[in-house]
Formats: sequence, structure tokens, C-alpha cells
Amino acid sequence: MKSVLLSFLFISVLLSACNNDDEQNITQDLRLRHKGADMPIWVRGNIASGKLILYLHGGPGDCAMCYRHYFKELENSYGLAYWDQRIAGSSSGVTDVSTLTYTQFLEDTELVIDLLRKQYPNVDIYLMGHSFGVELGWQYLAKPTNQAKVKGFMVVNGIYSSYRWLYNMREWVLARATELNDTNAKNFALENPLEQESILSYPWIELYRHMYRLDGNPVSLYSDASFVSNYIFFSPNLTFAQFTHGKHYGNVTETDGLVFEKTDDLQNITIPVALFWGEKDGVVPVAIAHETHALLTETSSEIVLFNESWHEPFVTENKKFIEATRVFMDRY
Amino acid sequence: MKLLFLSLLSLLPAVSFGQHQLRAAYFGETITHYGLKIAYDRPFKKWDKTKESGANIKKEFLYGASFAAFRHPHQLVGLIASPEITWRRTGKRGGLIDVAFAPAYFRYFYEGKTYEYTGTDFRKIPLAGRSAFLPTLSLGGGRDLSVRREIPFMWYYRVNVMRQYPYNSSSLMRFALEAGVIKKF
Repeated sequence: MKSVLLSFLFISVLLSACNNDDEQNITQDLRLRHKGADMPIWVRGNIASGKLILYLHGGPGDCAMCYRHYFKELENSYGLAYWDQRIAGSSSGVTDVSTLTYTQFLEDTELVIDLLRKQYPNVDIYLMGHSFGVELGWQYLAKPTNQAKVKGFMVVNGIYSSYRWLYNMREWVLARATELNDTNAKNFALENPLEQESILSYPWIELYRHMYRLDGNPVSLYSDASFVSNYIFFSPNLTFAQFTHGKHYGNVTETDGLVFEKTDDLQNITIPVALFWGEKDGVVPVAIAHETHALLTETSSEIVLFNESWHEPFVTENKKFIEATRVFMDRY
Repeated sequence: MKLLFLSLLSLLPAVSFGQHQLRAAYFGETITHYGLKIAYDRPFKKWDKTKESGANIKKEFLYGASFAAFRHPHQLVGLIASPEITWRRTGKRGGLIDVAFAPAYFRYFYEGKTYEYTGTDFRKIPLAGRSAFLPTLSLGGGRDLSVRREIPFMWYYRVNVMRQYPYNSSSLMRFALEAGVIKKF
């Protein structure tokens, strides 16, 4: 019995020692409880810099803190806030699926930013959205009063319009299918032209499958052993939580997700925007980056292309991504 | 009510007499999500079978109660209380195989600060966390050292498969490793 207790104490001390470096970087573990969801917001890094990046993860249903592995270097220069959205990542609570709406996601985003502003009143907040997180970002910034609360927006392979997204994905599939002589995918795209009026009945999931089959995003995080070991052993993520969420998002992706439209609102954006894009991405093709850039007429925006990357350029060209983020953050 | 019911079940071993067993073990999802478990067990049904070779095989059912605490750093501190029922087979050399079921009560407290939006401001929630039902199935092995060397201890390990209800809109599968010693009285 004594030896068991001693062993337990020894292991605890050992682990505390292992975590020392990590502990030094910790600023705060926050959590927002709202409408049944207990959403973690882990704030890490150099908050003394006066700059805090709020990472808006993708999905819906992806995770934020799980990607810390790829953003950690930025923490030397800035604070980073990793927020797991409701029923995503290791967000917990007793949450009704009916709250998975774009309206609710926007409300959560507003509250998270207000909470961070309250916690860090002297710090400037920047948004970095990836994929679905970009939709959250545009929703948030579409309200003019919200633009005063953040200093800049870094867009990573995300959309401003569902119609333009599917239009460009179909174009991508057609071009790639032609290049690879894939008649199956090519015929599917040709037989299914996209019309905005009937977007809700468009067989986009099949188009998506063709896109994946044509190597639209062949990157798997789970082939990165250091990511996996960090995720299981050293991240605050609940190991299996990430795999419980997928089934809940069918309704929101089939409704709100297909009628998302912020084309007009982009022309009212006045804060600086960076468009970081994996050039080979089939999920959100690079054509969307150029369209977004053209629509941002009232602010300075720039495109940074990652020509060896697909949907997650921070994974495949990490150093270049970190550097591009630093350039944007230091400029604004 | 659920807590009261489970607490009463947990008291059952205290009113029993006969052989008692105390368990103490490391308990955690991984070595970095660490914890401790203590438990009390008592056999209530036994079968002894002696083979022609003279080897003795023992099978038994035990009931008892357990309490575990673990920490997932920067996520939560979890407390698990449960009655347990175990089937155990002890081989001729003392090798153990056991299977256990525990309808556990799980109470967890989030690490860090939790806030709730009141409509106008954020209110800090002290000791924020949730309660959950955590039915647990365990499979393990070990060795009874009293069989060959008259040492009144067993060492054992278990893999616990747990299902947390509720978790968000459904449930969450959890796993935990348990390894420790059992003292027989």
C-alpha cells in the first residue's frame, strides 16, 4: 500500500516536472457555459505582447486545441486562444443538437470574444479562421459594431458564400477529372450543374466525395506520429470526444451551411484581412481566395499562397505559415 | 436520488462479514491523465475445483464498492464512486482473470475558470462541472501471491471501458487503465 502511494506521488511529481515548460506559457484556462454547452477556451503564449489570436476552428465539429501542435511557435510572440465550439473538440455539457445553428454559433463567437476582451482589456484581439471558422469570422464581422472589437482577420481556406464554394468545387473537380482522365467524376460534374435556386437539393456530398477521391485533400493528421502522441498524452483534449460529434452536424450542414452568403457584407469590411491558402486544396479551392480578395474593396487584404498545401497549410507548410502570420500580426 | 442510491449500495460491504479485500491502484486514462483508485470487495459466491493432478482452480463472485479520483490536466478533475460486481478465476499457480461491472456515478470539476453569460455580464461559476452516469465494464488479470508463497497480496491490472451519459447530445466512450495491489484480510 505504502509503495503504491509512493509510486503515485513519484509519478505526480514527475509529470509536474514534465509540464513545467508548458506551465510557464499558460495564461489561463477559461470555459464559457452557454445554452447547455461548456466550451473550453485555452489561452496560451505571450499575452504580454498585447496581441491575442483567437483561433476559430473548422468543421463544424473540428477542434482548436488539438491544432496547438502546429501553432505553438506563434505562442512565443503572441497570445493564442483555442476555443472549442459547442459539441466540438472537447466541449462538454448537456447540449441540445437543435442549438447547432449558424445563429447560435455567431452568438457563441460574440460571447467568447466579449469574455476575452473582459479578461484581457488591454490586449488586441485578432481572428484566425480555418474553413468553417472563416464562416464564423465573416458572420461576426458582418455586424459593423463587431469590427471595432477585433484588429484583423486571418482567413485560412474558408468560404464567404456557399454557392460560390460549390461552384468552385465543381469547377475544381471538372478540371482535375479532366487532368486525370477520370470519366466518372467528370460525368458526375457535367450531369450536375449548380444553380443557386436549387442549392439545397444539390448532391454536394457526392461532389465532395469525388473531390476527395481526386486528391483534393490527401493530408491526414493521424499519419503525423508526433501530432497523435501529443493529442493523446499531452493535450487537454478528451481523447475520444473528437469522434462523437460527426453525426450531430447533418442538419446544420444541409440547411444553414448551404445558404451561407456574405458577398455583400465583404464590401463593408474595414479591418485588415490576410488570405492564407493551400493552393492545391479541393475542399475550398484557391479561386475562392481570389474572389474574396476582389470583394474586400474597403480594406487592405493580401493573399499568401502555399503551393505545396491543401486544406490545412499550417500542417503541410508550417514554417511558412508561422512566418506569414508573424508578418501580418506585426504589420497591424 | 441517484447519488443516494449509489451511496447506499456502496455501504453494503460494510454490513458483511467474512473475507475482506482492499484494493489500491493507479487509475488513469493514460500515464499523463493520472489518478488513484481504492476499493473494497467481499466474495459472496465461490467454487473450488481440484483437478486430478491436485491443482486447485477457484472461481468466485465478489461485490464491493470503489472510489477513484483522476486528473486530466487543464481539462478536469474527475471523481468516480460505484458499487462493483466482479467475477474472478484464480488458476493453479495463482494467475487471475477477472471481469467486473460497475454502474458508476461520475462527478467532474473543470480546471480553470468557468463563466456563464447572465444576459448583461459574465458570472463566474464556482466549482463548475457536471455529473454523469458512467457504466463501466472491466477486464483484467494479475496474480494471487498467496497461492504459491503465502503472501496475502495480489497484484492486478484492468482495462476499464466506460460510457459517459450524458455527454453533449449523446455519450462519450472513455477508457482507463487500472493497476495495483489487493490485500486480503
